[in-house]
Amino acid sequence: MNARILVGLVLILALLVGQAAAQDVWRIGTILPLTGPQAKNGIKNFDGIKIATDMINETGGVLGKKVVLVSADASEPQAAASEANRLITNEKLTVIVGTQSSSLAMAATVVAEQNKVFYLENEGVSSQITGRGFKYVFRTTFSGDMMANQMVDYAVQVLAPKLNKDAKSLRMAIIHEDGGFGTSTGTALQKHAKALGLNIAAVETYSAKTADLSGLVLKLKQSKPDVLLTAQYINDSILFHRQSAELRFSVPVIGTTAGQGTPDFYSALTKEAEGILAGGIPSEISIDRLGAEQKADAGEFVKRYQASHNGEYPSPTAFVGFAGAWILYKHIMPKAGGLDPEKLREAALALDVPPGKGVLNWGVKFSPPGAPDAGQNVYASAGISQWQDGKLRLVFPKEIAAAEAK
Amino acid sequence: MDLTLFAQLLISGLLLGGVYALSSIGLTLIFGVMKIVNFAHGEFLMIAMYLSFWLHHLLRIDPYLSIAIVAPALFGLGLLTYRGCVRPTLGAPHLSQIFVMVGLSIVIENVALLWWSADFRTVSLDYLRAQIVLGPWPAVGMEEIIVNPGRLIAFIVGLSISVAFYFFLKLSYSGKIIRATAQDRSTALLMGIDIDKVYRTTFAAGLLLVGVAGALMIPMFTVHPFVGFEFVLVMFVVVVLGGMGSVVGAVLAGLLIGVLEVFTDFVIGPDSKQAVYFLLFIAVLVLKPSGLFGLKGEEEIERIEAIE
Amino acid sequence: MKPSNSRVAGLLIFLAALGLAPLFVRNDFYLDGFILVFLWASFSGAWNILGGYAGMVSLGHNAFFAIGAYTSTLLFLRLGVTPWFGMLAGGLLAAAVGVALGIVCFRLRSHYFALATLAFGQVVSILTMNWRGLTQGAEGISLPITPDPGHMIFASKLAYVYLGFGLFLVVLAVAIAIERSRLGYFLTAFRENEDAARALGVRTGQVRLIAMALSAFLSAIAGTFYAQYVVYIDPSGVSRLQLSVQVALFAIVGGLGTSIGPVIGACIFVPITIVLRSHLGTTAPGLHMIIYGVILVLTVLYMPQGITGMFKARSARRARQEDRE
Repeated sequence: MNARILVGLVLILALLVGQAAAQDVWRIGTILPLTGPQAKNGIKNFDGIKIATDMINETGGVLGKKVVLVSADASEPQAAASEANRLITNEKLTVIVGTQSSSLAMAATVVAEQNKVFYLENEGVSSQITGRGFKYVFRTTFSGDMMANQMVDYAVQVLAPKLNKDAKSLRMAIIHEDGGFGTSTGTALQKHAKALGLNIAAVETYSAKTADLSGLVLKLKQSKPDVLLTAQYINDSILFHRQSAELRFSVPVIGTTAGQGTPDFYSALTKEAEGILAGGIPSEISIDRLGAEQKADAGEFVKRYQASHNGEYPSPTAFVGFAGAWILYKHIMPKAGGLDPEKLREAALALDVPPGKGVLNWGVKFSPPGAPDAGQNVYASAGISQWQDGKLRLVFPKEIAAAEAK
Repeated sequence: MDLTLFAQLLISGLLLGGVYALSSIGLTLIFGVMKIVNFAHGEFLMIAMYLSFWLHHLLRIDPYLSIAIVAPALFGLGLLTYRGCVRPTLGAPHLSQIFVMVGLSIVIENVALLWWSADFRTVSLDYLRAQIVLGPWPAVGMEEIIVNPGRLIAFIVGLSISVAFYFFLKLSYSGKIIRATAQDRSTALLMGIDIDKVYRTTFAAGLLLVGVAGALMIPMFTVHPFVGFEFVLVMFVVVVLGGMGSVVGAVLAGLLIGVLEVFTDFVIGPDSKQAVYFLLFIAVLVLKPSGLFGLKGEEEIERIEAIE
Repeated sequence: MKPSNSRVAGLLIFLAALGLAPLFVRNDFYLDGFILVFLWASFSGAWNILGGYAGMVSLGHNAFFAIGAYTSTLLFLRLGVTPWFGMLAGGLLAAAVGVALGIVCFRLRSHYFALATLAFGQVVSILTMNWRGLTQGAEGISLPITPDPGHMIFASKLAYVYLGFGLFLVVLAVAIAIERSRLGYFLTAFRENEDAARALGVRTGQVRLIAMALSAFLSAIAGTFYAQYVVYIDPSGVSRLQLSVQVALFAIVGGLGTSIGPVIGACIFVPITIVLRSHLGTTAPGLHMIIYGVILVLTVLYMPQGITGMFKARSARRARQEDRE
């Protein structure tokens, strides 16, 4: 009888200690596609978040407490919703960071909003994510619209003069893959181009999984564009550029950092990638033009990523993963004093960190409720970068450019 | 559309079709002889591509040379798969045959994901960057036509294999045995043919062929765990179009699909091409199930009667 | 084919348990689990009508699910039609498409039929991606989240649980009705021996078309239920091929051609998936899918009658033993 009481007491004590210990950390949930077809990017995004977490924990955590990640995997929308449920109900989390893919985000954010849980979207670009008037959903990265606008502006402000053409006579072709990313970007590209009264010579969609793009290349060649704007992923952008080179279709290309702006792209095309432009987060960010603190942070991130990934330079998806988490740890949480969703909301909406002073070359300022893109970080700039001598240098906007566009 | 453009589309289409044909020969063989649809055929293509990739990545073996390793490896894998999954279901209802291969493909895909991660892999061969240019022929008003070396190689190999196989089936003793089994299993059995051996060898040969295809394809395409699914759909279309069991049919159908794809891309748009060949697929299945070029398939279809 | 009283009682107890259990669960996570079990049991049960009872294996049922989800949602968001009616419209559309598919493809034997349905499913999937004017393509369609029972949007998970339970009961009832009816006999006759059935005057064509219509109709309703629960639909969620494979898997493992088979399959696999994903998702990517695949292969090889088949065999053996004694 004595032994049993003793064991029972020890167990109770262990539980209490366990509880106490558990209360000395911040628990933050993540939902990302770690399995399935999008796993490649999901894992990299998660790595970015992990490094940010390690970095912050090593300097004492946030407000003196360390951050612990509770990760969830979801490879399709209903799984994302279920996992969000689990994190909120079983793990009792009040903050979730995710989701890499817009369709996963759309499903998971619904659950967050219904449960008044703070949700930070770090990569999905669909305008619908911040377009539903949700109060608890915030996006740290630029929206597809913002990136598309930059791409079109670049074509008009930089490329047209270089080609000695007036903007209105510039023939613009747009191609995009038919998934969520491609479609939302492609739609935004067309919208902005139309708004500026530009000449859209061709718009084509294709499946990113296709094995052959020769018909598309020949079709584009036929329409004789002056510039090509694309929303592609890595695989298809490599295929497209290869087949374009083969079929002698050569036009300035403004792609995105989901495709043309990745290290994989350069290693596949090497010399032929020189001069190609990519909108979004530059894979090789021009760290030299950042503020001192941002430079140190980004540099540290790159160092750690390379250390754990065999020297591979972080891809844009890893950068946005890092950036989103960094904004949460460095700006939102300190201002909110903790993980209470209401306080986090207020803190987020009150932030006004100028561009260049946040993380990377971003600032932090979220659109207020009532705005058509409520919750969007309007200071998350998508820049245009160009491959120059094997490095992706930011060439636009000029104010923060690290190099001249060639 | 001018002549050059038309010719370029045609050539690009034929070369793409060559790749499709090459990867489908094994499937049609299995189909024709064993009367089963190898739903996992795409996954074996994926395995072959990965194998060739790793041989290049780790041991610097040229993919074309790696065939010497990949082909036998896939043959062996075929024997194992036959023993483990196919033979037990031969007498079973068709549902079992279908789902054992579907289940196998799910396992293979996800094991590949687990072991090799979701990263895209490809092999970049410098000597394939060389351009092969035909023409120009100003006399006919045609400019240059460009030919992709990698696809040309696959095309030539594919064609050679098909021709070789065709003659093998027609002229050799083993070929006759295989054809006999395909035509009439029971009589073949009565004639003393070891059906199990025929099936075993055919299945393994089918995988060997897709192994060759994989090695030839890795320099041109990227491989990732889910690439099998993407290719297998086209392969089904090619096989049905060409007629189950007809190697020649598979080649011709492959070429047709390749050309159709490229022209659809150009004329309608790249997003429509899959829909086009799936609809073609259904049409052929329904109107001429023996395929455009095949003879078999008749006995697979019920006596056509009016739906009462 | 009238089941014994103890069987009926057993079934009723099981259903009662399934129906009452959610009331004792306060946790949203577990309620979500129940909802998913009912969703999948319904969709799988619908598939089973064609795949199990009629023996026509379809790999294209994702098409009907998608038709249901998109039809009710578009009618709701574009024309203000409540999903309570919209789901019937979706169901009827799916049934019509299914019947058309059947008329065209029923003459094909199993492997060919499977391929044809696979191609059909892919065509519909491609349509959902590319007919952007209608479906918004890969960006998907968002439904409003403000609770509105008149439009099938509820605040509490419990409401969805019972909605799902209702759907599940309907599918089960249809399955049992088929089993006990002449339609069921005809379908079994066709499944067991086509030629004999024809010779006996069974109108195999008509009978299968009815099965197809029911199967497609109920699959579409399941699609609407998904749309109303997740309040977001997109091609990856409602029209991918894996959906067809999954419902077939549940029916096969549970017991093809039995009313309870798909239910058992769903009750086994949904919890497994959730548990595996929660605990292993990060460390072993794709593991739960590997397990799915392995179970499918093993079931097909060693237990093709599924779990219900195993029990039937056991009770038959016991009955034979009792006879002998």
